[in-house]
Amino acid sequence: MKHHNMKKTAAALLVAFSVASVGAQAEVQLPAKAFQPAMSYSFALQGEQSLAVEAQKVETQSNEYWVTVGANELKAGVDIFTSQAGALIKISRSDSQTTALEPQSLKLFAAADLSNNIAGKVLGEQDLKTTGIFANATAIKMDKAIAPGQFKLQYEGALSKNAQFVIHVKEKGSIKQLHLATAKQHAIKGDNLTFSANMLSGQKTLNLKQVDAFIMSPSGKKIAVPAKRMANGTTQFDATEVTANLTQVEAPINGLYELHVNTVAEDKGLSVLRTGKIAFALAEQTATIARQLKQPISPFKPQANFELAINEPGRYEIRGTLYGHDQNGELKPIMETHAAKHFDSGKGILNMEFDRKLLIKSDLAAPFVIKNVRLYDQTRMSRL
Amino acid sequence: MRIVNAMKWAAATLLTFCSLASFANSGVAFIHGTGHQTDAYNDYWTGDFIHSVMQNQANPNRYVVINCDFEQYMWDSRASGCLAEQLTAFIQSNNITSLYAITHSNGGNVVRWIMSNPTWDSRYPNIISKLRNVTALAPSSAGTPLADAVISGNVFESILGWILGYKSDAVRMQQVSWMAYYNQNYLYGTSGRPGLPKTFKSVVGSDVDSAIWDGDSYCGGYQYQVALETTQNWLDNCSDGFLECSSQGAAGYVWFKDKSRTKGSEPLSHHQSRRDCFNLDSILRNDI
Repeated sequence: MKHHNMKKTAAALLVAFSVASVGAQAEVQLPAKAFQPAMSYSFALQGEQSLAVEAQKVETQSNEYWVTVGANELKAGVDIFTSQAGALIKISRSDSQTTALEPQSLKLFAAADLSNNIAGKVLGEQDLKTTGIFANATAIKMDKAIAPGQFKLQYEGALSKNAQFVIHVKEKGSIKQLHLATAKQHAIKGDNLTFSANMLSGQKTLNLKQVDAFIMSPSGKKIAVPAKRMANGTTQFDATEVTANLTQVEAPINGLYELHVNTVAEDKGLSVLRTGKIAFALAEQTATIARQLKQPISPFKPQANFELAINEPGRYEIRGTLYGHDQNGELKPIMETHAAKHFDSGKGILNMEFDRKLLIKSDLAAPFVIKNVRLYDQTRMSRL
Repeated sequence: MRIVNAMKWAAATLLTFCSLASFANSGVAFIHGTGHQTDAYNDYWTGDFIHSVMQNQANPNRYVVINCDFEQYMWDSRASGCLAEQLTAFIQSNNITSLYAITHSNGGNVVRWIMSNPTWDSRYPNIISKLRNVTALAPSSAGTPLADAVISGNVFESILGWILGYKSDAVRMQQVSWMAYYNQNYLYGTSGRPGLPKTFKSVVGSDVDSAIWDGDSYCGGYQYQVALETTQNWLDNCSDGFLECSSQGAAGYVWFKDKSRTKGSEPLSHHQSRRDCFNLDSILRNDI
């Protein structure tokens, strides 16, 4: 580990730092990157340790759905669909002005019998607040003896007319699941960015009667994404164009984008509603590695130099894995090294210094090779 | 002659070890989970727990209770920056050379951020070099479906920000697919990723005991236990009421699952894993 000393402490230099592209979003506070010293740091790696630095497929599953409704809808009655007995219905206030729901005024009826309230025990806001995570929410746990199907959720108490609620129906253990997948969770604006959705009931694929999708930005902006039905029952979402056309990308330092997918399928006479989502980072190409300067990595002063082409000023970091040769001439990993420094626009050299003690300890020999080189923008927290 | 030499070598080794141990200045840091703490000693951990853990240590007063704003993203200065500042102050003022950190819940992610991103902040390398061990009590290393459940569908308006309920950036960050991204790109210690530079071992809570006739349900407060069981609807069958076991064991290695070491083989709910329940305090005490 090499740490260049600097007289000013970072604590003294902490400033509120707002990334330019975030609009009205709450401010994220960062160390003042321009004043952080240039640094290199190495982690020892064990023999055959897998590094998994490349993008990996990510998949999410959902056996729930949620909808947003207004006060008038809730007073008139909102249709609820369940596909298995024992569903949990959570109603959250989605604005700070609305008063709490009175549990005794929340009713649930079977669609075929609107005279018989089957809500049973309703968990009020005070009950759910003690979970430490569900604030401003009320919930109904449906009796397992009630067959799944269509229901009506109604509130008979007073509500302010602008109140909004999110109704969340969770079917724990249901095998009817919406699967969402993407090949990578980070993209540079203009990169191919695709997702797939599949509604499964166990091993069986269910045909989707309805599907719609949108991307939600970190600050809450929604962008519709086209859906394409495939012959095998899968639905594909290509977000390449809509993200390439964004006038302003919200940097990952402020959070991730999300693809949200709403679906409806039919199975054995029951409507199966599911909502799924998957997060990803979207970034501008604020810098690139122009080249690695050609020089052998010396065991006496092990280092590598990279020329960066900087489009946006900021603090940039290179990560890489140093390999050496064992007695059989095979390459083995020695250490993972990070090196970071602030750059203005234009070209600049980033010097990566490897830990010589780790090199000696490894007992591996020259020629040393650096692999898995990745560039990060620390100012905007992007992987480039 | 060989035996005498061996005994001399053993004695010398023992002396060296003892003298190194006596030179090491050990300290303990208690690092809270999600929340903006200003008095974590009383509000998050309780004095009973801290005193019990520190009992019988060479210097039972050499500890720091962190108070930071862990409602923020882990990389925010009010989260990891604040933690770095308080740990650095503790290390410097006590000349700490061996730091034993005890984290709870999201506190494990904030410490993992520091351990995985040493060039982010010039204070991080010194903290990493002093860390001997991180014992992560119920860490949310792979997020929790409950974070998705509380965030999902709520209209996020930038004007409102996260002023509603528990919808903070820290909760947002602990959604499952968000943590998958951070584990894959920014955090070390999960499967297939480079290891962390220092030991990170987790204590996994596997169940919530909320039977009203069972006195064990009351450790840490009964009302929490009842509420925790309602959250099980979003979690699989092995969970502490807030986090699935798989998330708690996703980074570093699992030191132990609650029932294998606790008194009476009782489970530790998410609330109980920061309290002196079922000998957790003495297990930690003996490990420091």
